[in-house]
Amino acid sequence: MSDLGMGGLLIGILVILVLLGIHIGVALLAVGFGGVWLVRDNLDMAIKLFYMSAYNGVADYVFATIPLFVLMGLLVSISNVGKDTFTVAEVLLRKLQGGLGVATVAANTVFAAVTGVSIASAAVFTRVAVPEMVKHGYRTTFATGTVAGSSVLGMMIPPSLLMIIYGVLAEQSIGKLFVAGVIPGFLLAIVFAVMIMMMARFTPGQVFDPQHQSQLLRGRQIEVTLTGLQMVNKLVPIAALVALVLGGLYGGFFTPTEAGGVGAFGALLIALMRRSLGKGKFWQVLHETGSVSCTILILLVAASFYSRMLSVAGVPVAISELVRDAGLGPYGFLTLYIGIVLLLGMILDSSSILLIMTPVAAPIAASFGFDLIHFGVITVLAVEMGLLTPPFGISVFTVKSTLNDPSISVESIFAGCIPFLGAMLAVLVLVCAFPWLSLALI
Amino acid sequence: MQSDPQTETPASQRHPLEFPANVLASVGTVWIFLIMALVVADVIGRDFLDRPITGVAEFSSRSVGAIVFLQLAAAICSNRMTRSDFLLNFIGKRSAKGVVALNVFNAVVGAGLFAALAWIGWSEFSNSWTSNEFYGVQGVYSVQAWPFRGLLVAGSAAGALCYVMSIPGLLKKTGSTGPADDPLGGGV
Repeated sequence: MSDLGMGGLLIGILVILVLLGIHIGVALLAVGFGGVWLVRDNLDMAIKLFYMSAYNGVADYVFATIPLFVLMGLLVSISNVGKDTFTVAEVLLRKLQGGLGVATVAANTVFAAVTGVSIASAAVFTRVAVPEMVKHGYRTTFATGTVAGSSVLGMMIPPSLLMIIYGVLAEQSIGKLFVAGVIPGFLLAIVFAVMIMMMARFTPGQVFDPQHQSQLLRGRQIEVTLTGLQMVNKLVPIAALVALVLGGLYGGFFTPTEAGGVGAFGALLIALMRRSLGKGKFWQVLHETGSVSCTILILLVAASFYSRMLSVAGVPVAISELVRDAGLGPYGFLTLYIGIVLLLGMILDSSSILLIMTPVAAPIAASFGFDLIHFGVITVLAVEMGLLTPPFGISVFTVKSTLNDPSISVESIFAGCIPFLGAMLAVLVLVCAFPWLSLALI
Repeated sequence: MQSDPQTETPASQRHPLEFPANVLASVGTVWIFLIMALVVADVIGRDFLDRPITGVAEFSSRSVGAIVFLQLAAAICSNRMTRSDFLLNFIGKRSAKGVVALNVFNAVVGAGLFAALAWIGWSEFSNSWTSNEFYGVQGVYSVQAWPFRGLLVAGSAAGALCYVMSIPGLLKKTGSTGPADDPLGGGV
């Protein structure tokens, strides 16, 4: 069988196994093992590569970033830093039309700089922002959609677990990828904010619940007010963390791993000062850190085997020849790639898509002359759209399960996300068309 | 933060190996905290006291590999291994038996692979033990390699065992595909 036929078969089997509910790590290992064995007709080689991937696959300093950033994100989530950020943003932005929506986006942007997981943002802001928006006469569809939509900022603005995974698979500098995500991340936040203000102005029916609002106008509202000093107090911890982590990374003081360690330590100090760790909560956070990190790391072990198998089988080379012969230019390839990622995003979670696609696509992208850092930002942005697309949209599920309110259906949250998906697509096109958006700061 | 899923699971649905798996995982959990402390100590030592700690990077690197295998069994027991349940839910609406069959198939494949890994790893471990293998830079920083190779064997053997022991429980219950309402379990 040709390399291409074999490669197609192996990738096909992988997708089928994953869809049949086989644990993704197990599926990647099985296809990796079977692939090397069949392609090379060499069981010894399969055994050797299996062990090498298991023993050395994640034994690298950069992988220590994963538990450290997870720990930092969980510590920050438990110490009410997200709530404080939202309260300040609410007070500052209340006068704008759609101000609470904009406040959610703004608070998410800041929070994104201390967490690397979108679902952490989604869980925190569902509790904080949705009740507040509903109380002020926003439609629940819009409120939940805004929280789910703006949670994707968690992955674009560094630190970002998806960037780490991509960087590992494509053999790119994780520090550079982090820096490359800064401008697209802020651009995304600005586009979200502008979109919300336009919706509030031109299609208020989408944003506000007219009945509830007229009730609000009749009754007197007691608004939260904060003095300048109170605002400063609420913002100091998160500002210090952001400065420490991003400043340290951008200024070249820390490697990504050190930024993770120092950030987690800073978050620990904040949690201690706020007395958020009593009653066994500290152990819960640590335990959660361990199990979240393990599920990601075991996937990376498995993916390193799978990608070794692909290169042993010559699959990336064969596919890139096919793409070339089909007369697709670089942008034709990019369009096709984004299309596939978006489709996969409807049925798979973000890390799995990266694990399956990056080992195949990155060598092809490089052969077309794409900068792999630029390609990484595009990939993460496209993969993140999958968090919001039905039937499998994990940010939406997080909002739904955190909210725990049967009157709000998953469908209505998906509907609320549609404008945000549109905005993400627009930013994705911009990032594709203007590589300097991601490469300017490097 | 999600509420701890384990506190809500009734005893009858618990995995028989949950306790030993959690003990292994706890070692890994404490280890993560230790790495954080080491990294911070190294940064402070290097930048403020001009006294970096040798070997932090090497030790942390090796540790990540060990932590995964310490946590593996617990991830399998508590059903937190990442999977796509999109099609499973679809099948589950039509045929509960089909879902059970797929779950058992999953456990068998998983058990087979991790048992194979433990078996392959055993010879590497015993080589490492007898040849007194070290890693690191000779004379600057070196640590014996056998504990790390040993943890790989122990962790994957425990993982394989957890997959096998989950099969009776899978055969008993029909329908549910695991903690679909536990988003943090679904990776990132």
